[in-house]
Amino acid sequence: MAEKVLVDARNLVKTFKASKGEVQAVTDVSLKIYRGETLSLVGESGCGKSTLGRLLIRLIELNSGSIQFDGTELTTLKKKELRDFRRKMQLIFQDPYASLDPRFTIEKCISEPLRAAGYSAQQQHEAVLELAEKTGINPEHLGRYPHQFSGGQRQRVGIARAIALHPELIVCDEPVSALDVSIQAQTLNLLHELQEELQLTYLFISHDLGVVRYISDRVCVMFLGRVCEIGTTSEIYEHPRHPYTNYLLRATPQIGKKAIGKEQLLSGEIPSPINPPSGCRFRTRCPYATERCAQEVPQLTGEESHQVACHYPRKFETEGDAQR
Amino acid sequence: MDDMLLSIRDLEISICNAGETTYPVNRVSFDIPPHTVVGLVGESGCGKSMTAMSVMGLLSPNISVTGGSILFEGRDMTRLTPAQMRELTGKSISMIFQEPMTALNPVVRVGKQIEEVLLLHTDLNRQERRQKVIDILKAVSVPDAEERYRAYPFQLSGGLRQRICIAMAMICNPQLLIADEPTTALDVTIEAQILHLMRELKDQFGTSILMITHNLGIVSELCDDVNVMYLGEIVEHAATDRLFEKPLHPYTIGLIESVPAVEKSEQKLKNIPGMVPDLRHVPSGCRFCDRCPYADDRCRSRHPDLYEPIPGHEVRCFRYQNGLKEGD
Repeated sequence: MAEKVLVDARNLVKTFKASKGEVQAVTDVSLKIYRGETLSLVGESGCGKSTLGRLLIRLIELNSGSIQFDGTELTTLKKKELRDFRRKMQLIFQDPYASLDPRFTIEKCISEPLRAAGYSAQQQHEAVLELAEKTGINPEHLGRYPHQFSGGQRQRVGIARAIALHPELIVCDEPVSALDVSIQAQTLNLLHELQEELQLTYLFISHDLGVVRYISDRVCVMFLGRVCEIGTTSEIYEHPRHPYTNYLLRATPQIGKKAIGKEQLLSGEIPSPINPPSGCRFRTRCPYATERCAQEVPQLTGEESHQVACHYPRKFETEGDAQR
Repeated sequence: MDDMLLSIRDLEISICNAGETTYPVNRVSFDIPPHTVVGLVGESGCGKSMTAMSVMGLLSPNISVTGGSILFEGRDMTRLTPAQMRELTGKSISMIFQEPMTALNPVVRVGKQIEEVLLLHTDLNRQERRQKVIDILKAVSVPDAEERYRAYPFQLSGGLRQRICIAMAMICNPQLLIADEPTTALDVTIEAQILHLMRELKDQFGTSILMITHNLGIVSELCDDVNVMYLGEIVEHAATDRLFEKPLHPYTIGLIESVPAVEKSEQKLKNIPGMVPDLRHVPSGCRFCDRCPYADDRCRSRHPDLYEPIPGHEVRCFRYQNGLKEGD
């Protein structure tokens, strides 16, 4: 892992107005992204992972907090300055169909960022050919339209666009969730290769724990707008300490694994982010919660390689241990 | 075959589109014994949902069953009149879908929607119907069942909506439940609850389940028996444990290897090269030959049958035409 910090975010807060109050989408989140690494955000729908991803590149404005991108404070940049900065940060979306203009040819889709950056027509064409080669798009297909492409091919177009201006950080928001497994594997491998070739830094947002394990150097688990646990991939998967992380790892259906028993099943639903539980937000579903969990918000503690926000962090026996 | 609950034989479905006919399901055969969970897996467009829809008689007007039979307890469902179909579906066979919101009527209270099934299939009076609905809501673990009876679908979470759909499907105690990607739209913690519920239903009511999914993890956890589909055909069939322990078809192997595991870290993910061909350009030999690492001239020119190299394990691949190979 490269030791240099690319993004240093502190105390980020984002709320959205709703008819019945405020949705606390991201509450007091601090994290660092190191240059050249893949940091994954995992959690269930509504946990704030996509919002956090967008906050970090200032696609949406935050309520409070600070974001240092390569030493520059992002939150105070003026519009024009931010626009120049944008080329360093790109986004890949979940649904490549919705993010491509249906009336643009594939070539035009890919060259859009180049055009915005002032490339000449000739430069654009050359760059598109190179990008197509890098991302495995058949150059003969550049004159086609998005609807003529399959989901996997469209996602390649999305990736080609994202890397067009040599960004440093790419926020990948569920980039493979809409794809079939065989195509998903191809796309993940492509992202991996591009990362090495272009020294990219990824913020990878996903709910698929298998995909996250494969692609990440570090993992950040979120629940209802707060970070539960963050650490290196091997620490999180092999020695989870937060009850929620442990549960996610056990509950995911996997090949060759027995389903979890009834006694281990988490009861209830995800609480509403409009009126989240006091103290630890996971406490209403946590089998170990005590009075203290309702009173005090647990803070992230521990060494940088593994931090957990729980009053009673424990050592869970992972499947691997049980087999040994 | 007589003791099978559902027996699909040589099912062929065709789509007529702008004068062009394609065959999304091509001579598919499989059985569902009583009290069994059978999986139908494959990637989008392989024909798995289409197969399920044909059992329920829910195909769109331009799509029709053009061959084969669907035997439910020995009766061929493809020959039933609409009235006879109505008698069967909802009562003996029912179905749940991927997106519970679109499967529910947004302007009718969920209790009433579940009641409709009873109205059609039973002679119960209003009081009894209401009680039965509340009982089934409790059975599928809907909290505050009396209150939820009066709720509209939009007032419920995705997990609760899927429970409502399951309640609706289960209220007449069907012998067969067809579940088309029932947990794909749900979060992990909720998915675990729903899968657990389905297992309970099978144990409690003895319902057989046809589980249609692309998720091999779910198959491994829930199913007794699996059929793998590729481009409209069944390419492999075996008991679940056997299939994951010793998959034979190159497609099944590729599929299993493409899934990144939660429990171990991997350096490089294997994948299946290329993509699923268009139904209009189906390869003339083996349908998987363009993506298969073992394909030879025979695979490209001739279409393989389903071979059974060991009893109970069928595979559509010439490599197993003469039984298992050494090392298999």
